[in-house]
Amino acid sequence: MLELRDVAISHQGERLFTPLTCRVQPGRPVAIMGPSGAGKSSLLAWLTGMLPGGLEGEGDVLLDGVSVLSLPAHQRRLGILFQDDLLFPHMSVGENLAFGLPPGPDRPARRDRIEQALAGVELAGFANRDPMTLSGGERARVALLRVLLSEPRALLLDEPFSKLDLTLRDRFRSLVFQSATHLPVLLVSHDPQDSVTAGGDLLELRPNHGHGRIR
Amino acid sequence: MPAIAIFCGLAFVLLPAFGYFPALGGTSLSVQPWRDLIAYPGLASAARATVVSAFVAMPIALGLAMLAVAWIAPSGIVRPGLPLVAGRFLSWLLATPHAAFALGLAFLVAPSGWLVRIAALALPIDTPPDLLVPHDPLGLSLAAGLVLKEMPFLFFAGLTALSQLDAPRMLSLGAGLGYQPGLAWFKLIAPRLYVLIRLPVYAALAYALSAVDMALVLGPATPPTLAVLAVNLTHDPDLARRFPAAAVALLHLLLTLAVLGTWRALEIVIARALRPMLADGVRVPAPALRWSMHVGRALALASIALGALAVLSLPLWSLAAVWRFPDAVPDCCSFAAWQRALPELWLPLRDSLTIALAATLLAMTGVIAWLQFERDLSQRMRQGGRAVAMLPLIVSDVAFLMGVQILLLGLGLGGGWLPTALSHTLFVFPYVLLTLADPWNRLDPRYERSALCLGASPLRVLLRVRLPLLMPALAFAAALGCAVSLSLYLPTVLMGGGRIATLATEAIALSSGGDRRIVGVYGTTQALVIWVGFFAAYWVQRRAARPALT
Repeated sequence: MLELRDVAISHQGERLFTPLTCRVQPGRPVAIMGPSGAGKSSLLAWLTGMLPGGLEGEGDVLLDGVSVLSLPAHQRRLGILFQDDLLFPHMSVGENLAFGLPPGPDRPARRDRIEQALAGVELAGFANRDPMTLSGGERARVALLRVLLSEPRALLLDEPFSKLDLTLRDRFRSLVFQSATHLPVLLVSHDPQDSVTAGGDLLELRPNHGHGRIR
Repeated sequence: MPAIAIFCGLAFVLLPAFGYFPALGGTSLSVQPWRDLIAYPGLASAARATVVSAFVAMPIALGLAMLAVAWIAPSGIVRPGLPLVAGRFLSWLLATPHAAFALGLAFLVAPSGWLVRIAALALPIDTPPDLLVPHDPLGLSLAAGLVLKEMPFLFFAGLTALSQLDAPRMLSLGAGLGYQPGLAWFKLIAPRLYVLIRLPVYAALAYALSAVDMALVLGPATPPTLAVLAVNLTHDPDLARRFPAAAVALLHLLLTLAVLGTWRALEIVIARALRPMLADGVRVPAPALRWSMHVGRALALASIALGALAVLSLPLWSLAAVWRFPDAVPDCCSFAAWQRALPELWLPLRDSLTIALAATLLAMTGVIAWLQFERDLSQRMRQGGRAVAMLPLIVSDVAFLMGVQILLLGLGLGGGWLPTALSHTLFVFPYVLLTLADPWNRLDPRYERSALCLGASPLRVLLRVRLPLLMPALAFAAALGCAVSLSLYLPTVLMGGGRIATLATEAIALSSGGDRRIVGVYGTTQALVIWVGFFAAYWVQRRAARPALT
């Protein structure tokens, strides 16, 4: 379970939104909605330990009851999926997935694992393809596989559907939620449809109207 | 124009290399120049020193530059603290000309040099140790100089290219997948970055093989490196020595091609060997790798510090009143050396500046014309044109400049100011093109479109809209152009016909005389002029309106 306690992001001492508290259970995704510029992406960046300079986070983040804030980014094991698929252009599709896969046991076993994963999303035989030759929907599925193969402890989604066209969007959205039923899933979006499909809770990111909100 | 110059140059080095050049009395093809050359006792060691210094220096310089990028600005943004300071020093070293840098380094590493003097603070040293440094026969001092000087160049090539790689997001993605940041950089950024800086790497490699100024100061003396040997032969009053000189130049060209080919082959082998590492899923570097990364970073820092000390030793010597061995610092300060040098300093300063300004003006006009013209060309033509412009940086300049010199000689024209300035333009052009191309293409096209729609002629649009908007980039390109010209040594020596003395050639010529104070004055002046240029460009950039780039 992923738990956020009184979490807020601030810029020069001003909170971007009122502090947020929520619990995310596996199979019950939580969607955080808010207009652009409200601090949604900054929130996810902070959770993963990669907040850009000039911003500050507060509150606590717990995974299965243990705070992750003291861990460096690469040890938090919070998988994240961005708007862009960000497949590594210098690697083949298979190598991109192998990059996500934990090390071992040996190369044939890794290759089998990747082939199976690809077959599971109707991309059998794509391992040696160059990511540049894939369609948008195919690339999105590879990006999803890559993060799932890395065995994250929770999945964070930073508007991963917004760049896909409408028909693809629905199919990919259900694929994401189906394949991550075993994980706490936290989604930020400004598309109300995302949260409906998620079938979980919906939180509104409320801009902090205290004094002089920074845009 | 570069293509013609290089073609003529190579043609007119090929013919005399086989004994044919009527103006010099060679009327039939023969292999006599090669026989003379093979009879020359030091040829094999000259070739060995040339290749060893380049092949030792370049992998180290490249490795240190990559480590420096990973440490100073892994995502393209310079990290605060020590990395920022190191980055400042690197830009300062980049702006220091090769000749001055080599002279400073020679002051530093000589048996009676600054390093030994500093060591003498702690150790009981009262006479200079008996070491053949610099000028060691294998060319290792030269290699050290090349490492220290090319590392900043490759660092900035990498830093500039990094902006094309979306590095911040790639790195956060790597961290999100559990990769330790340093390892993520080497798996996700380094392979793609190398592809982008391949051209600068080849240029640095070609430079390492053909450096004459650095080789004269740091390299082996008898026999010298191939490039120095070729230049020495052309200075021989016996014109018949031009034939073996041409043969050496041709040999140098072949050697350059062989070294570049070997480097390319090594690239392929190494890439194939390392590729499985990308996909092995290992997220934390093995202790040995982590350890060697720490050592590499320490070496990078040490080389920056060493470079800074080398540059600093020039003004220090020029101001030293008395500097007895083994004192770590001189009795400061005396302007006697400056007063002594100033009357003679004026002429090379004037020639250096007029040549630099002329070459830069010509190159900038050419680059602007090319960029304006290039827009109507197909992608392929555009890349072809740019590749030709880069040729002077990659092809052996020893070979083609010597060919041009022999051609001028055959036409009865001596060297002088004009051939020197024109040859400088060949080397300034590619650097100006590399600097201007990116800002030029990123300028929002709507500025020009709206100006054209307001009825302005294309020329007026160029002069009143495009160039003013690009002023910061133009200022920097001009400063860089002048810096390149002021650093050049070989073109001045070969095209000047003995009549042109620049700060670079004078500093090198004086260095064999042994008056460290006067050498310090020339080296300091050469570096100062370039730094002043960059400061002026920086000032223009600060004053100019923000560039409107998309």
